Amino acid sequence: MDAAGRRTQSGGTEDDAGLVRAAQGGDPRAFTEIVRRYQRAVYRVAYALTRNASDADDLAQETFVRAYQALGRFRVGEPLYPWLGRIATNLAFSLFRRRKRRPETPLEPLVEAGQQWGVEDDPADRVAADERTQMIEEAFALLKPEHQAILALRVVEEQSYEAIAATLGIPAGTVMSRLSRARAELKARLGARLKERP
Amino acid sequence: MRHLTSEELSAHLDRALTGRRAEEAERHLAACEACREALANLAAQDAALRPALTHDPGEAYFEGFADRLARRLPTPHRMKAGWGFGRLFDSPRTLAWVSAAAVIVVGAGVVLMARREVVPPNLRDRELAERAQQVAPGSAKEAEAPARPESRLRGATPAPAPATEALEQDFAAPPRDDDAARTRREGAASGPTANDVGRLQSRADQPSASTRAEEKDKFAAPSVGGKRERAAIVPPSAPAGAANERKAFAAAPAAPAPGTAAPGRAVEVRRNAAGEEVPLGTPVTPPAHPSVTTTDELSKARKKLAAEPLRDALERETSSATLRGGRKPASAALGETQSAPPAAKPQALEAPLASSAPAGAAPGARGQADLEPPATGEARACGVVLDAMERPIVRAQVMLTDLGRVTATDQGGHFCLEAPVGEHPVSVMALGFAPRRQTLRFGGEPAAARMVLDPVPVLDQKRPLPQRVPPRQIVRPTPTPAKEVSMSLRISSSAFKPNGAIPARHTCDGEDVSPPLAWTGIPAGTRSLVLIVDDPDAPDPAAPKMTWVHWVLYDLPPSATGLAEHATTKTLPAGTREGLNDWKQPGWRGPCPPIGRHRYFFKLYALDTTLAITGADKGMVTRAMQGHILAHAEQVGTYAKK
Repeated sequence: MDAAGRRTQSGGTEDDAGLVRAAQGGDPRAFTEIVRRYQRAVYRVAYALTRNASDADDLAQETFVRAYQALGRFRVGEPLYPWLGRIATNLAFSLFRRRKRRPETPLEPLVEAGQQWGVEDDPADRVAADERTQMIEEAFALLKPEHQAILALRVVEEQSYEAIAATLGIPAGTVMSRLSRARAELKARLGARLKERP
Repeated sequence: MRHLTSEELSAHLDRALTGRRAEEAERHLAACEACREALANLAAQDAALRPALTHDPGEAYFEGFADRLARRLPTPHRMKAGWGFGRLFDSPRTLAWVSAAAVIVVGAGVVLMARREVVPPNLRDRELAERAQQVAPGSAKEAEAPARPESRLRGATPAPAPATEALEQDFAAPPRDDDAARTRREGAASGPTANDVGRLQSRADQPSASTRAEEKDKFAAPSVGGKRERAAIVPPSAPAGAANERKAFAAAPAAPAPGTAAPGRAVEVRRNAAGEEVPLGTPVTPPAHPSVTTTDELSKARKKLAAEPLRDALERETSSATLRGGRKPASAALGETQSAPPAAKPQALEAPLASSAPAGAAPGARGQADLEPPATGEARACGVVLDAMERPIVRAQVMLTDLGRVTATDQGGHFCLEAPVGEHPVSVMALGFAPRRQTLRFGGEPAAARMVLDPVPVLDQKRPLPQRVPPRQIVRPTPTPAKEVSMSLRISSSAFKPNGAIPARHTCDGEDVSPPLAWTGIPAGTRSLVLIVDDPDAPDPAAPKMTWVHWVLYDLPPSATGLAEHATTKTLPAGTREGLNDWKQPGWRGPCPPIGRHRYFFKLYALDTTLAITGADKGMVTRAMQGHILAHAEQVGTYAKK
């Protein structure tokens, strides 16, 4: 996916404002248009935060359901995307918390199982790039949720620091330091993983 | 020289440094190879992270996204309301409560209105006489005698007619059911009147028995003094409903024969289960008597009655004579329903219903309770409302659309309506079913109309969604017999027996090609098949933690009868879509268990739709096929690594 495709397909804030107003007035087509406009972006964030198509689908759908329910409280004229992104990340955070509370379904065994079958048992067709992707995904999965979120917004969505600040509801100044820490953390985790390997 | 901090490197990578900081960073990087390398590493890390965090589910996924979402959204007008009125309809249970409450409120309103109607007693008597002649020609004289309001309210005069007897004896002690029934049969003229009002009365008192009693006292007092108007408002027969109801609640084991009622009572006496007198005004909570009937049964009977007042109101409009003279004694029905245990329901509920019961005809199965002949020119037609599986639909609304007469089906799905002889259009509606219209013949040959309702179709992706989509929860509980899963579908493999070992050829110990599969018994209406192979014993059968997915195929054409060994994208039947297994790859990847003997479930599903999603994994496929499974079959093979 190229950078342009990765960016939010937005018809502009003014256009969005009209849609939001119509949707608030009960026009189902307006909300459908909002969905069509942002479904890809929301799905990308959802996938980045869950790394699982099925969870991403759930999360993306749930994001729009929540958005629909809260649309009446949305201030017309504000950009839509950060708002949707915020709903998605907050939902992802609660998903993290739920998974953490259920030790029988942690990510670790999945990762291990993937290693057992996906890496060691791999036929020769498994290329090194895939392996690296898998490793980085595993390392990413161990990051704190807020670090995952900020990396997803920056690296996948290529959002500006201002947009990230709006999405995560944090001061713009915090974005820079948090992103830096997230990258450093990922690097450390990745390094640790590499060392573990024979 | 100060190196760039990691924060500066990170920000520089994002081009987020501005002004002097950006210039300084540029200058430093130009001079410092270590920082350039650190920056390059950071960029490489980002680049490696991107594919790990992205996944393209395909255009089809996004094309269907809004539609799938629409099914989860409440209807548009509710958006602003938030927790407003519309929320009441979000769940079927709430909806049921709300409708029940609405019906009760409307019913109570109708009753109150009815009670305000002033009918001069002499008119009433005349009507009764006319009615008596209609019903039992020749017994008009006898029929003229009974319903004299004052006599009973005064309570000093022995009641002349059987129905009145029943009333009086109800005050003292409840009669046996058969006595009451006989009374009703014999007192064709007076019975209906008494029971009619009693029925209204019994409905009005649904919320509180004591209220009813108080009201009755209030009204009864002036009528003793001879206020005819009052007497008409609260007809003497009013206690009938109460009596019948109480009969059910109190369940006195044996009642004195008619005629032994204690005369001279001006005040109603309520009895409890033990037969002791309970002072009026004491709140009585009928269902609390354990020996009598369950709360459930009571509420069912009440709901049944509560569903009918609308019809009362309508019929009052169209023929008041019928209403006053010939209403069926529903309060009696209430009594029966309440007192009879579910197993011993009056046959009426099960009996096939005949139309047009002529005056004076021997009461049929529905008999005493329901087959009260209608007014001249009117005939009764009955029917039963069933679902596609021939199961009765309870509380379906049946309406004569030309006359606006409405009734609801009982526990057996039966209903009866009265209308002028001839054909009338009828519409039947029930929650979860598509409405049905047909004509119903009144008069002529008795025939029970059968009305079979189709369930509301479960929305599928292919069909365009209606403008206002009912919330999913309301769609889900509808009985969908067509979707009932059948097990006639079978899947097998020539490579391994059920629960047998899978040959190494199909595993990572061999060539790892998919095993040959064959299936039979695909049900009619199948539009696609789904095949999922997974292993619930991962990673160790001794302590399984997860289900590992080995193969996901969907949108297999129903014409396919199996898959040859070593199925690949090229050899799969046309139209088949490959989902992702847990290696996030399409296609088969065979058993390769790290420890122990695992089971591999080969699961085949016949769907009434195609899924039309791409790049789906097992989770997405299983969610998409919910509500569309016509049949499923599975075979298990096992494998342990060598």
